[in-house]
Amino acid sequence: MSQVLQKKVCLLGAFAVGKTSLVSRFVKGIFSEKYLSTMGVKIDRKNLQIGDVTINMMLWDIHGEESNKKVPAAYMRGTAAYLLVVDGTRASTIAAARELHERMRAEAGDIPFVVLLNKSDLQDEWQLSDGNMAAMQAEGWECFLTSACSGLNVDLAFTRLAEKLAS
Amino acid sequence: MKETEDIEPNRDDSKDSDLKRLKALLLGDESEQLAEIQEHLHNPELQAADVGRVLHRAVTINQEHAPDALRDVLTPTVESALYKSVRNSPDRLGEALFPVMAPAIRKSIVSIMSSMVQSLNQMLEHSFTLKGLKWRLEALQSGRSFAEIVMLHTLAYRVEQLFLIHKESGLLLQHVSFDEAANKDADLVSSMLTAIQDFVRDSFQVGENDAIDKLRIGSMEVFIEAGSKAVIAAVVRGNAPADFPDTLQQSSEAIHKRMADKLDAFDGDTAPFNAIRPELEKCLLSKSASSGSPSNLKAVLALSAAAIILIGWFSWGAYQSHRQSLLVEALDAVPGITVIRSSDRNGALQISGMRDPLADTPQSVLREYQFSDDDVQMQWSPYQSLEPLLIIRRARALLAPADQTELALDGSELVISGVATQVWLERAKQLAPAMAGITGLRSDQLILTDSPDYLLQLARKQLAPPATVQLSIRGHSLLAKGSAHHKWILTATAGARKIPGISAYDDSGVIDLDSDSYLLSEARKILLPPSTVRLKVEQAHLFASGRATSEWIANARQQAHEINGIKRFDASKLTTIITSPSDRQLLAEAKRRLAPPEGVTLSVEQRILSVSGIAPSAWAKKAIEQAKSIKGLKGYDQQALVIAESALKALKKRLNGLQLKFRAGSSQLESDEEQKISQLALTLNKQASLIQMAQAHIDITGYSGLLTNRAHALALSRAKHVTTLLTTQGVPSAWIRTHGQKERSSDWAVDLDLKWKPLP
Repeated sequence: MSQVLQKKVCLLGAFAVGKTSLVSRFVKGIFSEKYLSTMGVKIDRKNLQIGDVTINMMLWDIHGEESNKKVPAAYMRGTAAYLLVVDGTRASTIAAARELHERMRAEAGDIPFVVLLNKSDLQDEWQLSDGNMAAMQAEGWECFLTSACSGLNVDLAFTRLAEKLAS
Repeated sequence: MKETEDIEPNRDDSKDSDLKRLKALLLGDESEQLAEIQEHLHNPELQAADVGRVLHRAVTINQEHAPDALRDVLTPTVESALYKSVRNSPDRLGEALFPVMAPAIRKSIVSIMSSMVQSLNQMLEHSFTLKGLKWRLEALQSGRSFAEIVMLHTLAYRVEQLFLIHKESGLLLQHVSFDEAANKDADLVSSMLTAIQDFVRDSFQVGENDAIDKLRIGSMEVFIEAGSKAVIAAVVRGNAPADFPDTLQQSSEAIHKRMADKLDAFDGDTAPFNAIRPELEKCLLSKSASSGSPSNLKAVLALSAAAIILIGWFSWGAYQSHRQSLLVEALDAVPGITVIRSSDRNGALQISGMRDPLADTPQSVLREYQFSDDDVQMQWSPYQSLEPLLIIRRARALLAPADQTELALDGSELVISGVATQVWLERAKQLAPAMAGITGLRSDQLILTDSPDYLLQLARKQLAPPATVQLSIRGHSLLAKGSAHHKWILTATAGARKIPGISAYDDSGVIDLDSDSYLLSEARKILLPPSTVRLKVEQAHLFASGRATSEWIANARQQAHEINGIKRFDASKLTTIITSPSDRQLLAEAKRRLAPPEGVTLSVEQRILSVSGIAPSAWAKKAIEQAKSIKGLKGYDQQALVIAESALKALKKRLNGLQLKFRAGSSQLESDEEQKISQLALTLNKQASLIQMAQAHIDITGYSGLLTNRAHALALSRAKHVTTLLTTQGVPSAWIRTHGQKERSSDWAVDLDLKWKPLP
């Protein structure tokens, strides 16, 4: 018998790294994007079938972090897994992702996550060096080169996270 | 000895002491212990200390062996102790219980207050509306309190959806709805609701356990009952009863109690929570508002009727006075009328004021507003109004302009436009400044009917002269020049008299295109008669007499009819001069008629036409006929002409004699046969011009003699083979026609023939 598991999954990353684009192309939602600017969060759903288990991800697309607008801790509470989104054309977004990662660990403990290096279609403006990539992999980050524009690896990243949740 | 003595007097004492000594000897330390025990038995302080040392153990042991015994024993004592304590010092117990009691009390008070406010609001809301009045009437009739009636009508609601939400993660544990279609996005709504809770808590910096407990969106309310692990959100349409939050709270408590461990261990699997659906469904309450009874319909009707009568009474009066004021306003607005006073005396309206005698009569305004003369008494004092309309009327009365003269006012200047006479304008210029309200006069757009330009324009319009006539004005006379038909000249003479402002008409400069002298000069110009011819025109009839060549006479007959105005041409008195044509004229005529082809030369000598060169027989026959019809020609000589067909006879004979042999059943020629064809081609090319002239062609007929159905095809292919050989050697293919025939005795030949077009 197949089992359905509901999981709260946060989508974290600096301002304008493409979180909402990732979500709007690959998931199903009913809420308008204006919630993002007003409440700082918008919720969408993505269902994935992993073996016998259907993972029902409730995606909390949390407003990109800016210095004057911190992600509220309350939004992180109860999270089962998260996606860290880095903008490949802005190396500075790695630091933001790292900080969010630390805050998430403090709030929810050692839970599954994957890292999306987004905007991989913009190769001309690509800023991440091999050193950056190596450093992230050395930290044990599972990284995916993604593009919300072309759809590259997006489903793969979501599926990988679902697998981690199912195991 | 002394010792004995001592013992003697105290015999009993000594007995005791002896006993003591004995005891001491026999029992030693034990006697001390006994003493101690003795003391223990009689000393309550020590007893208490002993009990105190073992009490807790005793209670524990007692709890194990007889669990409720101690409680039962102690209950009365504790109760009375607490009772006494509260009586003596209530503060202490209050302080001790405060942390427990305060939140519960607070919650209870808030709930009571909010339900009170709700019912008060409803009461106030409905007290002063039509609905409220209706309900008051209903309360009076039924004998129930107004509050009760309000409650009856307003407590209509329905709990539409219930969400059970995991508090920490915001995930949906369970969802029940009265409408199954609403289930689709419940999980998203659940998460968003949690996010909103978090957002509000974060934004307003309230305590960790404070939360939104009600959202209101129009007629919809969301009640939120937050427990420690799970939250129930209820979507309610309409006004939920005041105790609805309590119902939710009870459900929440029941769920928490039943699912405590499942809530603690929740990992995203909602299946276990299906068990508490009934608990949630219990909260899907609804109540519909009862409809009002129709018993108060009569009262409503009676009240309405009374109200309508009252309103009618007041509004009739208001309507009348409104009508009167409208009339007064309308009268005051009429140019040249000024209302000074108006009053209502015994139902009749009295109006007094001033009126310019030239203003519109007030009666027309009375009709317009449906007042009769009896309704209104009017008193007008005459005055001169300076309103533009009245100034114009006054000017019109004084200046008496013609219908086509227009008057207007620009500021205080009188503007005259249209048409008028100079005399009238002069008079207007004198009178205008004397009129009230007019300071000047402008007439730049006025057309004066007695000016030369105007008269000329008028004459052109009335007389409609043809393009050949020019009109002009001198003084008051109209002059016409040019040429015109008699008819126009007559109508113009009559028309000119009728034009106002024109006293004389002079058309002596107009030539009558229909007069005999004019027609004669035209005929001379066109017919150019020779000096031997005399022309005369009488009543549009042209007569010619004298002598002329027949050509001129024929020409004149034709052209005379083209002269405008000539009705008939009489040439009966003309005699024809006969002249014989010269050789040159005859040659030209012969060339025109005979149209000789290339290669033919014509010549005329002594009026005899000679033809030489080569021509087809068809032309030669035609030429003889044509030559006969040329007048003045004495003879026709064709001896020097060669007929093309007869020249070609030798060639035809040669072609007929030529027989080409083929190999049996084939289109291949026998050897040496091609030689014949080459020679033939040479001859044909030499005679090319003759062949062309005679429009001759070569017929090549192939034969096969075969009996099969291939016979015709073979015959044709033989003929074509010969054609191909001829054309490759320069014979134009247009000359050649090929045929195929199968019935021929000599069965390997091809015949050739020369033919020309049959003569017409």
